[in-house]
Amino acid sequence: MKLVSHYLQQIEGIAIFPIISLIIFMSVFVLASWYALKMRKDQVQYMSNMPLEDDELDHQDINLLN
Amino acid sequence: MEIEKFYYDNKIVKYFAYATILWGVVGMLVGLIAALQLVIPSLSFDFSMTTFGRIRPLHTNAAIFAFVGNAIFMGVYHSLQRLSKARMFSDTLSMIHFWGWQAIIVAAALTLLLGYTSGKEYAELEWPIDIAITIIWVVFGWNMFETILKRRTSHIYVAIWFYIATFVTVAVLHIVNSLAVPVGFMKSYSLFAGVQDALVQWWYGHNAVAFFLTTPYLGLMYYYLPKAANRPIYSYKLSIIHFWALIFLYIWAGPHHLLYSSLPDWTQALGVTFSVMLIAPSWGGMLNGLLTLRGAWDKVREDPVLKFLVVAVTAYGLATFEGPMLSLKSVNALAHFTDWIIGHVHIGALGWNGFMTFGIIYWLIPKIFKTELFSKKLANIHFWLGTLGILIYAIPLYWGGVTQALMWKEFTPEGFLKYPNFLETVTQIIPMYHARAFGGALYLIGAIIMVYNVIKTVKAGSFVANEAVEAPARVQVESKRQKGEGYHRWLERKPIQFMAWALVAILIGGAVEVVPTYLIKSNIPTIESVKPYTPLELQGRDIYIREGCYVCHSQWVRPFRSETERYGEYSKAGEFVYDHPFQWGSRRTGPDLARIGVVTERNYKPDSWHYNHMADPQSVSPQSIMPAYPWLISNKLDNKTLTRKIEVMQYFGVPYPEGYGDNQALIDLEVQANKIANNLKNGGIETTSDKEIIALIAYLQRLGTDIYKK
Ligand code: HEC
Repeated sequence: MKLVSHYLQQIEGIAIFPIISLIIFMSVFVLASWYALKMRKDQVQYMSNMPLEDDELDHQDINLLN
Repeated sequence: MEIEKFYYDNKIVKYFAYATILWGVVGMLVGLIAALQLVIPSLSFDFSMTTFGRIRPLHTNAAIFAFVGNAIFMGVYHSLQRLSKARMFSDTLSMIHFWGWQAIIVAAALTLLLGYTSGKEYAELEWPIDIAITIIWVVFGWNMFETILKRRTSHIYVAIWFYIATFVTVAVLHIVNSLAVPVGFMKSYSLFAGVQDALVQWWYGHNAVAFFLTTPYLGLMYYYLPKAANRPIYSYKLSIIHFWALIFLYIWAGPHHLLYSSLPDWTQALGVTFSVMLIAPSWGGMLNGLLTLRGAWDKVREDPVLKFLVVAVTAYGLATFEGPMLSLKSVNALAHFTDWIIGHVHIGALGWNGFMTFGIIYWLIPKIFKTELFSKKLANIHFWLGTLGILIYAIPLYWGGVTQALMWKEFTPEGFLKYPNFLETVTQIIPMYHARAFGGALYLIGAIIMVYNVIKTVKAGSFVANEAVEAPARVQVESKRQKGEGYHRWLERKPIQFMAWALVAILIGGAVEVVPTYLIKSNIPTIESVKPYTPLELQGRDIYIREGCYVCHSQWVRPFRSETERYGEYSKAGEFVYDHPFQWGSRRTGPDLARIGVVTERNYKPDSWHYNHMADPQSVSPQSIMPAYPWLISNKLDNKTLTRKIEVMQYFGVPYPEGYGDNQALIDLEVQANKIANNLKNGGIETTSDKEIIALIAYLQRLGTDIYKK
């Protein structure tokens, strides 16, 4: 550990980290929002219906089949 | 389009469901015992394995990793197959995962009761179990990713994103926070010390809440809420923003557990800022859940499943509003170390996690057994008992928390502490502890009614172990991004890349927070007079850790007049540089001990007081709720691993003299022990110097003294 810390101690103004983090967060947030708002309607519908598709074969059981 | 026939594996879902129910009841029962011990200390039974300091970690671990853990796996194995239109990748891996996880739980329960603990909250398990957890977690991830990869759907539904984020983040958190060097088969020292250890621990601790209790459950919400209500999620777009904002923000919030500590200010400020910002995505998620039910509230009145889910989501909203409030510095100054926090986490645990789990169980068990729920009426009774239980649990604790905090801080007009005797502030809130235990009992009774209901349902149904399904094979699209395909859209069909980005998101947060504190010397001012513990004190410290004293005692005086007056000089970062692990604690059920050894402070006690107090606290502090530790009086101190302990400390950079562990350490230990035994003799106590209590007294008398040394 000492070896690593030695080098990173040299970083100057390391307290700028939080500002960087805020900027990164904001960019991710803006990008995600931009993408979400621009999503096509059919895509949105397709995605949000995924949990509702039921394709179980009318509740057949393999054990009952053979 | 080619239609393929295949089978969902319901057996693994059933297994995890049963395990969830079993460990849920066990975990709640242990919690109830802990609650009763705070009212009737003799329920610790003067026996090491049943003492509060070991029961409480057992409860928290059981609730989080056994109850919620199994519930996550139940839900993931069930929903993932259906959302991927594929059977789990490997039945063998599923079974290894299941039995491995149960074995870990059993091992955890036994070792925690036996006193094997790392001394870090919610990460108490010792290194061999930590390694087992890592292996089983990888088995889970492997099975999950292979299933996602062989899916028949083209894109990945938002629930699965949450599962993926959960998997990577928990892996990172668990590994980093568990980094330790073994000193024996079931004992290790944390790689980190003092402030750094505290930061890593709460980065972990907070994100255990975020990525074990929250993100997987949001995934479950996004699947089971639409399923149970039979309508799509209110806004899929919102779920995308919700997801990225949540995982990006959560990872920074850890330092709000360490406000007013000796953590660097900028880290604290960062923690507060991001905690407050967290309201937005959390409430986005909550609203998305609740609005899914718009126009279906008549259904909610009928269906116990939906009732459970609605209260769960509401509790999530409450807890995620309260959390950011608690991270505001002014609120935190009052609420921290009090029962307010215990109330807060139980809104989350009982409301959000518990109710979501119950709702899913009531929905899922009849489905895989091809029958109806045995009794809707009993489920409704469960619902009301549970809801009442939560309220009767939490409200008294809020009340008690605020009451106690105000008493701690109150001064007389002359400028003295109004309640200088800490115990007075404890006895004041004992009625609240009665109420809390009652609320917990109601909640547990509700869960037991569920057990009966589930057994009856299972008996009436016939289990479908392999459920036949037909679905079209996946249209093979080129792995490259297609023309006109958005980047995120592409990502939604590339699980590995997706995981990589989620990993990047959380690693940035972790690195920015932890790395600088770890690396910059100026962040942790060294204090010349702070020296390593003597061998006897080190042994005593390990007893302190073994007995879980940290669940009731903090070791961190905040820079407020009400605290410096009561406990002494506030804590400095440089005082903890040799503490592997740190023992700052999080709840003051008893007084702070950071300066208990300082002769000039008001709380100072002589050796003989400590001896009598540990043997029987009520004999010196009538009405105390601290358990007795008679075994420390009779147990002989085990010095077999002392050499190794000193060596490991030296490896960490703790400046013991070269070769100190070989011989000299033991000699020094005996000299110091004899001195304390002599002191006790002068105080009228007959004992020998080789007892555990001697080492513990040595440690307590050392606490907080270094900064006064020349
Ligand atoms: C159930 C919570 C609980 C646990 C566990 C617990 N204590 Fe206590 N402790 C208290 C309470 C409450 C008091 C205040 C009343 C009293 O003096 O007994 C106290 C008081 C003390 C005091 C006196 C502090 C003072 O300023 O007067 C010491 C020292 C102490 N405990 C040490 C320990 C040690 C060491 C352990 C672990 C072996 C431990 N305690 C475990 C609750 C607890």
